[in-house]
Amino acid sequence: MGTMFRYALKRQLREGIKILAVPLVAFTLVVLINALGGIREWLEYEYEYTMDNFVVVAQLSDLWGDVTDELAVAQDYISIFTDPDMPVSLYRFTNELMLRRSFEVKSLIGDIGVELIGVTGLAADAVLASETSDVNFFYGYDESLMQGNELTAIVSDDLLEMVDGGRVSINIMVNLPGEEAKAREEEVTVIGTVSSDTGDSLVYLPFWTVSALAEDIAEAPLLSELLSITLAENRELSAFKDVASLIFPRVMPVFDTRPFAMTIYDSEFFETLEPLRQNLILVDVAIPFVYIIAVGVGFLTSVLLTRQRKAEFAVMRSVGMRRGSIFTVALGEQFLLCIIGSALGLAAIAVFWGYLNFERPLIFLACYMLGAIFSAARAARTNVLLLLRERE
Amino acid sequence: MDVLTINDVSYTYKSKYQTVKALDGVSYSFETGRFYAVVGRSGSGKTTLLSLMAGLDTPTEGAVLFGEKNTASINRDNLRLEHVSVIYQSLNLFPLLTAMENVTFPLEYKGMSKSRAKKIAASKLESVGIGKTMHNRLPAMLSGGEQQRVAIARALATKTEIILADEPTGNLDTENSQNIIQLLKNLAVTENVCVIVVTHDMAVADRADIVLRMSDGKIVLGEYGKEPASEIKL
Repeated sequence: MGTMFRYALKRQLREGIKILAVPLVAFTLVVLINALGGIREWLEYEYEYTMDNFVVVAQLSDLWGDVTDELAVAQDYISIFTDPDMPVSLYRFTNELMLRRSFEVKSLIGDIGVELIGVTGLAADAVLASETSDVNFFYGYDESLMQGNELTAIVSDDLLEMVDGGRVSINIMVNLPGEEAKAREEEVTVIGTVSSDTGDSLVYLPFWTVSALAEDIAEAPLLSELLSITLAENRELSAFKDVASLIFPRVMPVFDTRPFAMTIYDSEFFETLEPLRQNLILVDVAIPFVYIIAVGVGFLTSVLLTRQRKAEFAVMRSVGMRRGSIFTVALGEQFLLCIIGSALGLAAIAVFWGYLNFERPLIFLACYMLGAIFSAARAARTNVLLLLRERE
Repeated sequence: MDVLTINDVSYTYKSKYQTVKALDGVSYSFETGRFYAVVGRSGSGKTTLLSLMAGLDTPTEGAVLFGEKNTASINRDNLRLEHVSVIYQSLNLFPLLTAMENVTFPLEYKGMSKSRAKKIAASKLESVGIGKTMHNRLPAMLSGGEQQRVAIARALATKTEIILADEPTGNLDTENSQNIIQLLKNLAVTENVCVIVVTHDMAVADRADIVLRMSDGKIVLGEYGKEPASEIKL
């Protein structure tokens, strides 16, 4: 086999400019495939970035205000109603508790202003599950304590020094317009810490604990007019809508007497996401198409090259070379030339784009060789008698 | 001793558009140490017969026997590699290998060392009049006659029991032609090789021990080898 390839290499090196045909085809297609691959990766990155970082807000509101009525009929929104005890445990409530009577909740730990965040569940939600991976629970505590209405809290790292004996005092103030602010010091058990990305001082409390405290301090029922919900996991948006639409049926402003509606502001999100998605689909179709072209080109190129060498293959047969050997040589030559072109293509991409991906060139190589197999088989099947007769 | 026997051999070329019977019930036994000439008009089936004897295909009917083995049931690639050399007028050399490499390739393919193959090739090229200066030339840089001589050198180098040659002197001048024929004749006598030459050249046929005439796919000579070559009408 070594002899065959040594001779094959010698003959290839004497081909002159023809030797460039296969490497040039391979070079071009590898660059094309990698360019498409690069575009795909960029689109995918943008898509994922949008999924991860685009803030989609769902607002829960009552129907007593004009705003909610208008929102209910707006085309861009999905407006859905709910019962007061809706199970929105999959999602995190911010502390924008705009009470019906414009209550304002402020909280302090010592003299540090802290953001109270009502949490309705941790492990139940994929989003919060990812956040909980950053939560360091203290020994003996776990996330289940955040799902009820215990006086338990998870605090950001910067507040750790304020924790004394596993507990921290939070001063919660509720301002009512025209009334004197009401405040209360509550001592909560700290069950874990979390690092804050924004540098804000955060205190996570069970949502129902926050609600109950606010009601208790204000000495008034907590009638939430507007409650913002940030959907931190946009990938779950569809699932969220499916679940939410069961809980909040489509609004019927005239007849409906239910007190809550939900509006999901996702039109801008989809306007950003949709072109990315469509382009991704386009590239995903284009890449296999290029692979199919590679099979065709591999077939065509090697058919042309082997057709030119019919006489040579006939000589191979007449000196006793086995069909298998001829097949191996013909395919080996194609492989060598293709791999040289592919390597040059890869190098060009690495140099000019600083991008290196081996997977796609390997798939390309496999596709090209699949095409080349047919012509190598044809070469091995060269019928010397027929060829001689054609030449007579 | 019979080294090659063709036994009631017929061969039909089949293509999409036509079927042509090239050989029609041909029988003959070839012996070692003899120099045979097969003559006949174009299309009489000479080259087809030669190719079947080389094991490049099997007969549609009948059998080609190498010794006592039917070539249809043995490894015919091995037959050509080890026992039968074939020289065609048109398909003779690898176009992108030098004269030397054209001779050494089958030897190395058989497993011979590079240096030994080169030594043998040089001596055989020398014997057919291809000097050292031409060893590294590609076939395109050689004349038709020189190319033919390189092909003959390759056949000689492989040291097979049978040499089949299709118009081996077709591209040679008279002097070279005579030298090559003498070389092949000597090979038959001294090395006990069976040499079978397909030719139009009656001068070549004249030097043969036995002449077979073919017409319409049949050997038509009444008594093989008894008819003087000069009296054969193609």
